[in-house]
Amino acid sequence: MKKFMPLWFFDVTVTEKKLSELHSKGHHLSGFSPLSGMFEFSDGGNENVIYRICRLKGCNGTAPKGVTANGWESVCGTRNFYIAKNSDTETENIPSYKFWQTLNRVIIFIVLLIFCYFLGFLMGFGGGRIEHNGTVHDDMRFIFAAAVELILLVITLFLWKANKNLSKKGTDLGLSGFAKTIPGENLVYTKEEEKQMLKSGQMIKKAPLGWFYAPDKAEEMVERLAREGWKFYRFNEMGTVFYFIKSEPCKLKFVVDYQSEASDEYYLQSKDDGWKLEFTSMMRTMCFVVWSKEYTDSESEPEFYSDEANEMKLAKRMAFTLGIPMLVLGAAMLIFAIWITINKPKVAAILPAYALVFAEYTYFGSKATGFYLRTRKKHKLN
Amino acid sequence: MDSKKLLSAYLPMTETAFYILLSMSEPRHGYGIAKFVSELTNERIKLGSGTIYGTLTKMQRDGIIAVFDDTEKRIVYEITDTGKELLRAEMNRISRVYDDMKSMEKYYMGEEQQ
Repeated sequence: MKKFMPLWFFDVTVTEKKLSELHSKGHHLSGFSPLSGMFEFSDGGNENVIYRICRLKGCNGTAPKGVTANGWESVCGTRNFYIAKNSDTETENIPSYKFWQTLNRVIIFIVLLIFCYFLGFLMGFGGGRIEHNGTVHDDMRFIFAAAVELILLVITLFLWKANKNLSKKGTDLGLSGFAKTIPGENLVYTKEEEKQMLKSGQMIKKAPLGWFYAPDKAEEMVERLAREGWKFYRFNEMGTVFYFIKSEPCKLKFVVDYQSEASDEYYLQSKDDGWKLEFTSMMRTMCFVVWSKEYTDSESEPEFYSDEANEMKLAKRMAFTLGIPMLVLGAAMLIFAIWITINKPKVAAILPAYALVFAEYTYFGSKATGFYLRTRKKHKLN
Repeated sequence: MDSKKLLSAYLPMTETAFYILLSMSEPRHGYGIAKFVSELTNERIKLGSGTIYGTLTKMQRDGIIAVFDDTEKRIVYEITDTGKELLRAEMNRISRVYDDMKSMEKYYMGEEQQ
């Protein structure tokens, strides 16, 4: 028997369930092609098993030794995929969903980008009707953009559900709060207590504008305040406001990291190493993560990046994905503004609003680029 | 990447890459590597968490190490044959460096005691 499941990769947990169902009906998986989505089955008994579809570069269709030691049996696969089954349906040793979580996040990211793009269109069309030769028509472009938005919304909901399914099997990072960006363990005081502390001067807030574009400066600020007796307490949910509480002067290492792809492994490994998670972006792609670690006088300063090359890579990533694109956008806006002032003076009334966006791009863009240049200089001196 | 390209890209190795591969005498996860290296070198080398994560990701992509087990929460890696070949090449290089150093040592190392 052959079965065609073209969208098998959208939510592998659903596909895996389907495979188990078919197995219990006597259709045992015998082969599959990830590209075409074709699954082949041969006849067999009606046992209950669970399936796992895994992507592992260069695995040649077989599960790694450590996985088979945990009761998994390779069924089939290709160069970079393997499917394994386990007759212990209650097993807790499940091969990682890391790849599928990453894929899911990347697809959500792209879908949202397209969504924003068409949203711009929708807003540009106003009410969706145009006047032509005295009669009013529906603007077909508006209807098209609206339809695309609707489809994208449905896809996003579907992806969101898949994300939930996958993360149930993933790692709980102990995040709390509405935005799921600050860890729950950081929230020692209630909102009321915090208000009181802010009033009495036991707690202070700081909100440096666009601090994540110049992470080295933010790190310096938090470490200096810790030495002066203001210990970092928490972020707000957006990560824009720092809260500090009055405490004994202490030594704190504060690290702002920017990962192109932050996996569960990244968080777990750093937590194992004694780092305290302070903040993480909701999106794991192009993800800001903040770590801290307290240390004593007798200990050497802990390092998150012990290798200059890694630190340089981080600065480069910031400059090339944020800094320079923003500066280029700012420059393009400036040229456009000059062009409009010369050629269409009537439209130039929108320029003040425009100037604000231009200023934002240029300010943040130069901050991120500045961070890159500072890091480069620091490493050249060493 | 074929092994010739890998050899030229990785050799001579950074201390980070060398010690990570050296610690792979048995399958280990990220934090296990950090602990092992710190113990082996008497805390002379403390690999940062971000550095290990970045290097492991890159090494896996290049086929120098591979996933050994990911059924527990932490991913356990093992060294591949390509990785072993690379490590042997680096070990040979370092022992030649060591021999050269030994033969020239007498000209420099005695001075500080005078």
